[in-house]
Amino acid sequence: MMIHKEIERLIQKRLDGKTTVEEEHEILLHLSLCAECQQFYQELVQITDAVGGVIEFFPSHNFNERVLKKLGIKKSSPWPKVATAFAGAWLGSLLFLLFSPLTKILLGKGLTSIPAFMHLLNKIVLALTSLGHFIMPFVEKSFKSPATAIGLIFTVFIIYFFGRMLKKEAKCSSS
Amino acid sequence: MKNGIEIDAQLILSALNGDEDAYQKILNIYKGRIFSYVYRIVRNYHDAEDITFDTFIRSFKSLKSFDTAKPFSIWLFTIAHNLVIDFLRKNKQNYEYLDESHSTNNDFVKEYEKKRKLEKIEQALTKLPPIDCELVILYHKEGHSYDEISEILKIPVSTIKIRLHRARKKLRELVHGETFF
Repeated sequence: MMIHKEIERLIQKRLDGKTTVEEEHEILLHLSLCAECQQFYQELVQITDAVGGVIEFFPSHNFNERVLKKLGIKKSSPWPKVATAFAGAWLGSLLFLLFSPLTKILLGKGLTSIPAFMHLLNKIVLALTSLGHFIMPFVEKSFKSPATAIGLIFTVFIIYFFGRMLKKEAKCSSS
Repeated sequence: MKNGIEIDAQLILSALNGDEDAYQKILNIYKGRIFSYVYRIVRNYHDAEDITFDTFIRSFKSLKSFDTAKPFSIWLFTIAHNLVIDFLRKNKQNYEYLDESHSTNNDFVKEYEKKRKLEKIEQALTKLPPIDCELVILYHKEGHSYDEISEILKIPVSTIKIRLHRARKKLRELVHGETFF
């Protein structure tokens, strides 16, 4: 019968998957006769298998951002593209209004039909006044509480900062 | 390599071209594996995160010198291992024979590990000397071969074999609390 030290060496070799057929026979024979070695083998197999399944730990949630920031890799943002598209559309419209013959025709027509235009303007003013009469009680009521004024100021600030953010993004992408 | 996925050369090339998505993919694939490996040796969450951070920064900065014919994980683990050794030296901890009673067991780990069935193994791993823990993790958790571990740790294969066999035995003793032979 093999001594414990020798079987231990073979068990370790088996865990590495390097045993020969003869060695496999030797191990199995010894394990079937020695309860002590059998227990040792089973525990070792259980532990090494369990190590493969130990949990994976993770660094903090902003780890990727910190690494990319340190490396100076910028996050790609859709805003510069959106801002460029808007600017392009505005410029296009402006050029069209300035140089298109259609503008001239429309202006000419508008000048020749001033009475009709004035009539239309009166109608619009009347509609707006009626709307004002209808809305004013609500507006007055709303402005009695500071919440509306705060909301208004807040909206102006949001528009202002949104504009600044767009400008910054456009600057970043161009650099 | 039997465990974990490996990235392809194309992803490395994309990262070299400054593609942010490529960096994100590499980080997502490896950050957990590197962090777990480092954490189990240094046994402190914040130190482990710092070392993992430095590992990625160092590897990304020298990405051009990476040989794409080799697995990326071996390269990363080599850098992480070197940083761990530097850390242990700076903190005057002996890499070969670290005081076995040293364990930080911070709240994060306590909370996390209580929910797991493998608490005993996890505790036993913290009691192993760093090099033994490193070998057990690289071989049984990461699935690296003896040759790959030899490349990462710069230790001969024969030494790795002897130490791993000893580490397994020690781990079994720590879990079951008895000594055979």
